[in-house]
Amino acid sequence: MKRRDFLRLFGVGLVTFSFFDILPRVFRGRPLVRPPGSRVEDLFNAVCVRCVRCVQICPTSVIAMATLGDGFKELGTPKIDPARGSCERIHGRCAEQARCAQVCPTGAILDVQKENVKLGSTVINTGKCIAWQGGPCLTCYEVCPVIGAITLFDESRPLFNENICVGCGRCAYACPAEPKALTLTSKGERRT
Amino acid sequence: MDQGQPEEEKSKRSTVSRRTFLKLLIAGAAAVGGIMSLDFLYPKPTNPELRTVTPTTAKVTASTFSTTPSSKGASVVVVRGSASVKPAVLVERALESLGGVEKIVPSGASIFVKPNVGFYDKEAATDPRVVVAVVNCLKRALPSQIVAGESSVRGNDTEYALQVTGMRSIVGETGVEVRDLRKDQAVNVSIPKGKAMSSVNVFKTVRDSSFIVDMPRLKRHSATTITISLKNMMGTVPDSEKGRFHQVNLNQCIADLNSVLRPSLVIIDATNVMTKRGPTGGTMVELNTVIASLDPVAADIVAAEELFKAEGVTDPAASAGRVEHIQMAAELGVGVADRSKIEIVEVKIS
Amino acid sequence: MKDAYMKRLVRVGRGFLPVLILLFIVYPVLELTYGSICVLTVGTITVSCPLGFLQTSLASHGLILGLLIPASAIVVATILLGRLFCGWICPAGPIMQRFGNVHMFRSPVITRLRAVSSDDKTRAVLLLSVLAASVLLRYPVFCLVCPVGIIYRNAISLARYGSIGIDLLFIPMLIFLEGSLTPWCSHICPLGALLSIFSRKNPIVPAVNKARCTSCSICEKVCKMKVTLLSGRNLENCSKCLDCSLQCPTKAIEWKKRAQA
Repeated sequence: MKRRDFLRLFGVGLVTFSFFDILPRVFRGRPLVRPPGSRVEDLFNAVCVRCVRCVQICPTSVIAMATLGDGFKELGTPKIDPARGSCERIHGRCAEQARCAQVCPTGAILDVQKENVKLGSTVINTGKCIAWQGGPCLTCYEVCPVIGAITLFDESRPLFNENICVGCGRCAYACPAEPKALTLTSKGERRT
Repeated sequence: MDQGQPEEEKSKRSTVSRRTFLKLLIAGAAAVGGIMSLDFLYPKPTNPELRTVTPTTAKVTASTFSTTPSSKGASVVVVRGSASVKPAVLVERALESLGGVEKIVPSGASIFVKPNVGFYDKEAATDPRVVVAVVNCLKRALPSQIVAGESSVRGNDTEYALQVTGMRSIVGETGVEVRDLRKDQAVNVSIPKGKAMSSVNVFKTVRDSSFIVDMPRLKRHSATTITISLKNMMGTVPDSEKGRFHQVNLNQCIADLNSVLRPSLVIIDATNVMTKRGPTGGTMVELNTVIASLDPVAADIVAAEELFKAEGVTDPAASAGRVEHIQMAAELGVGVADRSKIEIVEVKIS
Repeated sequence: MKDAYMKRLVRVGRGFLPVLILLFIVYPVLELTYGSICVLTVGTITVSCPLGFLQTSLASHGLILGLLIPASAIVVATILLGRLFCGWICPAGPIMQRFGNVHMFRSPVITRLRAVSSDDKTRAVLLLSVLAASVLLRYPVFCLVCPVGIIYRNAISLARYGSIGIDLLFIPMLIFLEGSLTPWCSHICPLGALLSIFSRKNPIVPAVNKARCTSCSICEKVCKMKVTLLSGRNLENCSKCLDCSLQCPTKAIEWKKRAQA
């Protein structure tokens, strides 16, 4: 093989893969919320082999495969989607052990102690919140497993404490408002 | 053909012409795009429960249920036991004082028992031993069947909740089926007297029963002040309806729901009550009490008063009278909220 | 009679086995397996794609110990059995081979690329490119476009959640690549290239019985992996699909342990 051809072919490969990475960064929205105990984002993307074992095993189905809108090179990696469920690592079916961490073969998700679990935190859009608009609803407060993450203003409206909140997404999932008043963000997440 | 093309070997393999391939490619891309756009236009709720709510339109009215509400007066039994008294004893005395289970429950009835298993917390759920005691009593009335069921708070898996609270295993021992209602079919029921809703989707098991035994745990509640028998009925509707209740008017919807799915017998688990904060995370106080009645509104009023008394609230009766959904239910004729018209039968067991 | 039966059996088996494995993995039965074929656990045994192991190790600038043994298991299997995965398990192979003859456009660029890529070394260069890209760009680049991964992930997504991803469009793109340039399985697939390295000395190969051979070249024509049986080259590509031996009109092909060179 001529050296020129070799270089061309090699180059084409490199350029194509870089393209997949660089271009979508222009379009990407907010950073993804990852399963509890995930490595820092760069390392996560490097190590996740897109085997989707975590997606299959999650008992609440909150772990979803990232789609195109989440970034090109992130396609196939796991993300937390509170529209589908909530993370029960803190309270519920994974309280003993994170199943996603258990099946992850490359260590993209590590099993961390419950005290160190923080997927992110929830933010509220009071304009969409039933309680803040005067109605009787405190579903988020009801379902929140972490005392202090949501407190009540005037005993009727929820206030969110992003430091105490662990980002499990229960409130975001249960919020009955349409469209939902709560969004789970990666703010304050603890990565390994 | 083109220059530099691979040799005759290709012609031996099955050839797909350029045109066919292009057609297939376009068809494939269209299919992919089509499926994906469907996903976009009709975002599927991945909670399987939400998917099943295409209700059948069979209608049922309140007359399905054996006891009819009376605005004349109501009787509520409060059985208090000392710490050593078992739940079964409390329940027995309560039912006896109401007239005996054989009088209350028509024989051949199809009974639905509604315990409270909304969360994964044992403290938040009805004590399974109380449920077992009730079930054992109900069997004496020779019903045609007894089914227990629950649909947990949105986001919680009912199966897991039933398992972790011990409800499934402990109640299962009596031979009664404990059903995850989320797996049930949803049917539409019209609410003739409804102020916030004209109809509601409920689970078929509940609608098809002829006698509802409502068994809540006495607790505080962040949104409705307290959660007792009226609020407990929310576990008989699908998730989408629970959401709707909050969107429309939670208190009125609870009242409307109870006007068509009126519990025939209410047995409130006040063995350990949740004070100060609820429906989870509150301070548990041991009262070892069971409150029973054929009137859910009266039962709730009395139970609410008990709860506020246990908390040390200054005027517990007045506070109980201010609970919105209880008043709204009384207005719809579900029961009696007027304290002066409620006869309280107190029983003490030491 | 027996020949026709054997041919049919093998062909049906080769068609069904990848589908059966796909279904078994997509709908985990008795919870024996989780996830896709990229890292497969059946009971207590885990095997994984060796290319996945290499890419993630390189991308993380370290060694992914969790995949070391699972990947080695596949490497050992390849050393002994050759590219059996390609012939019997890979779901992308049949798709690539079915559409392998579509020649799309006529252009000097395509012609040049075809000439370049028909060279045996192409896949080695592509493999190197993938590995280098993984190191430099810090993510397992081929996993993104790997047709096996794409098929499995979308199948799982479709079965569980009723949705599919846009990465499915990579498949027609790769088919186009295959049709215009050079066959995927034998000349492009980086995973195939990696497996070929290990299957070089695999002991079970088709051998031509010179006494019976009439040099009709049917074996070479039907071989999907472009093994030149008559000259005994490219034997590392052999996926044990049995087509050559089944199609040979004089039964001149035998499967035997490789004779000492």
